[in-house]
Amino acid sequence: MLFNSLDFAIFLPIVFVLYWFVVNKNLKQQNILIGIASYVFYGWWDWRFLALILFSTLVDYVVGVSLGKEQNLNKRKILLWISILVNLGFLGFFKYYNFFLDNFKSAFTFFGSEINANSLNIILPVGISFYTFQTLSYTIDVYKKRLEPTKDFISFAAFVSFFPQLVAGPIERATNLLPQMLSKRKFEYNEAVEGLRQILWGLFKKIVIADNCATYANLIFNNSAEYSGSTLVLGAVFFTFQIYGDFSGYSDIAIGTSRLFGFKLMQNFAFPYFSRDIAEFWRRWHISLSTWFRDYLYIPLGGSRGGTWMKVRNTFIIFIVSGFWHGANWTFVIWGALNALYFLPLLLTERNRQNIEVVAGDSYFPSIKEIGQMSLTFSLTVIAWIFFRADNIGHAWNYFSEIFSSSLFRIPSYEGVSFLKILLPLLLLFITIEWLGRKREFAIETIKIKFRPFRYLFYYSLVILIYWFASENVDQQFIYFQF
Amino acid sequence: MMLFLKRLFVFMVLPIILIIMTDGYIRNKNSLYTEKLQGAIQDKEKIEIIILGNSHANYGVDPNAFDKYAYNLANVNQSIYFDKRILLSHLHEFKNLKYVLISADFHSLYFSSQGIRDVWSYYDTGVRYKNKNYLLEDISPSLFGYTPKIIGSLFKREIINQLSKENIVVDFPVQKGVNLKDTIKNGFIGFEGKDVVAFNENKFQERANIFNQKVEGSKEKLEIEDDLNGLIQILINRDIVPILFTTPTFVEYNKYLNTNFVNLNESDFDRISRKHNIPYWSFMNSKLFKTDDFYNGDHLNKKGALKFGEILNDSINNMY
Repeated sequence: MLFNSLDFAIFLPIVFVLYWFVVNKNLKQQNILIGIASYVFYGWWDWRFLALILFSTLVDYVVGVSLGKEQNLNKRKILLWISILVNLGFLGFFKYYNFFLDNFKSAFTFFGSEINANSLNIILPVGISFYTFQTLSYTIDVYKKRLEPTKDFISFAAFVSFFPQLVAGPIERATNLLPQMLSKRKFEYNEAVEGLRQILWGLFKKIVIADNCATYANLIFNNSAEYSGSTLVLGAVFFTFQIYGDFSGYSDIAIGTSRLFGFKLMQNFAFPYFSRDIAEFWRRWHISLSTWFRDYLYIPLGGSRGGTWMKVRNTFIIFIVSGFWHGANWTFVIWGALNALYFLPLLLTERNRQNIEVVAGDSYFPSIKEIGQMSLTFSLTVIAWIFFRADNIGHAWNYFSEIFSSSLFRIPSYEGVSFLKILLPLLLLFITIEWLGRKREFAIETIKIKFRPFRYLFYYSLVILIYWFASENVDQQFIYFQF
Repeated sequence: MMLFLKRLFVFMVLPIILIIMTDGYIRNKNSLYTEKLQGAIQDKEKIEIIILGNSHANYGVDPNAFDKYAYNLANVNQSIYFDKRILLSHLHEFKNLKYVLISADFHSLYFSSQGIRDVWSYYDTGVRYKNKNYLLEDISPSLFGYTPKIIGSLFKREIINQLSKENIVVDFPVQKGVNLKDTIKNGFIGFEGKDVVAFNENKFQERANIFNQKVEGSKEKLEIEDDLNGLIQILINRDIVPILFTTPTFVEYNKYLNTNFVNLNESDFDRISRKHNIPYWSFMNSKLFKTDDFYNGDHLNKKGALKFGEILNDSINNMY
């Protein structure tokens, strides 16, 4: 079920009413309802893959309970590996089987021998990368004794499949979400209002910003051979806003929906395009994934301790794995490696934590230096997104070749693109609101319009824009579903 | 919780009222579909010739040029699928019907859905597109039937018309180029003069490309041909003569259409006409039509429509 669909608009109020008015007195029943609602939500896309989630849930539940009882280190390790192998096994098969097979075949052919193996027609289960990492965090934390295993299967199943963030995150840690699942939730007016506001802002980002940018980004990327370098730059900028609006919009809707049900999920995006360097960007972009890799991969590998070689190795590993997590394509690997290259100079000169606070925290406007830093960081991310969006390495290479040609200095052509009339004003409005709200968790949180009719007018304007563009750009899926 | 629900309700009241009012406006708004269909039902005893098809026939055939009582039931973007069902839903009422002119254009065999117009057609003619469920569209036309862009332009047009000091006769939305002081007669209302902005090579190419893409990407041809054969057979069984005809389009525009499909179309309609032993008249590249007869690359204006009506009338009169 898509957040930006009528199905969800009907589904959400039904679950909300049942949750707060029918089963509100009983925690177990509330969790059963969450579990059922989550399975309906997921099964709406393809019910066959529910078995996969259920199996992962069962395995991790049993592993968790066993880890709670087992004291022998070797046996505990075996249990942990069972969980890792089952979860990553599913992920590897569904997501990476064909990629590895094709690359092995190419490698063997290159060295003069052929292997006979056919690619499989595999459907990638939506959200598998997200819920796999979420359940893995549970078994790893239980193994590390950072978390007590739960014996409440219903609550555990509800934790694994929690519908607001099941298919595209934020990837919640068991240490954050599971205790909330196990304790009584109370309806809080302010949280519910903030939740609705966050949903509204998420829908605006997705439907008004991302989907409009998608139309033009797709047009330019899909026909890149026909456009000048300057137009291709424009296409890359459109994609840069598309992916942010799309993914952070999804996160906002997920977090907002969770708030309606009394849950507090982690912030997933913190205005990353206002970052002053790449290190800051990665503290603000897809925070739940970055911190997951930091805690479960980077730190176990030694983190930034040790010598220079160790730092370089670990940085490349974490960024390349992060890239590969996004998809079985070399373009994602290069995207990751490029970000590692951006990040390394900061790490090696120990300047990776120089921009911790929000930019221009004490004033309305950034300084000239900050504008320069933000522009440079933004440009670097735009370059990296080209690899992310390209169909393959060849496509990315051709895209760059055209950008770095004399056609870069031509006036961009955007036939069929109502750029100046529609998209530019929308982007300016969006950037302004995001800038004004950059110190908050999301841009329109606790919005400072005191007079209610004016505040409502602002919300109505957003609703009208959402309604307007929802019917213009139909059937736009969320990008991160494919990961 | 109660405070939350109360405030949510207060917030929702204004949009709900607006939606209900807009729904009421749209449901009561006259349209070209209702205008045409109601006119046809009103004249059901008199009608001898019915013209079906898309905008090419809608604007391109003036039924008033015929000696027999003719009625234009074509509409903008109307596919053969809808032509057939709109006609069949009232066919038993047209007791005097002798000829049905079916527009057989470059793209006629390649699309059945009319896009958003499927819903408009459903609202005003009752014809459903295949198995589509129209429950939501029935609940709220403004939320699920019309896009906000269309609603916005309807309101805009309404306001402009209300404020206008001129004597506007047309009381339903029409395309740019139609004279608002005209009256619809026998289902026909035509384009006035020429769209100078659209009458150039670039626009011809742009528009032709739209149809080329539609035709080249279509997978519906066999299904639509079957549907057309079915319609022809029903008419023949009722002793009504179906006539396939291709409307004139401007030669400079035609050169941008995919030639393979233009030729294929000719032979397809030729084959269908021979199969049923019915006439097929193609005026696509007819030299009888000059620049002055066209509103844009693929539509005749009122003058051209009258000329084409007369030609079709002569052709019918000369049939036997």
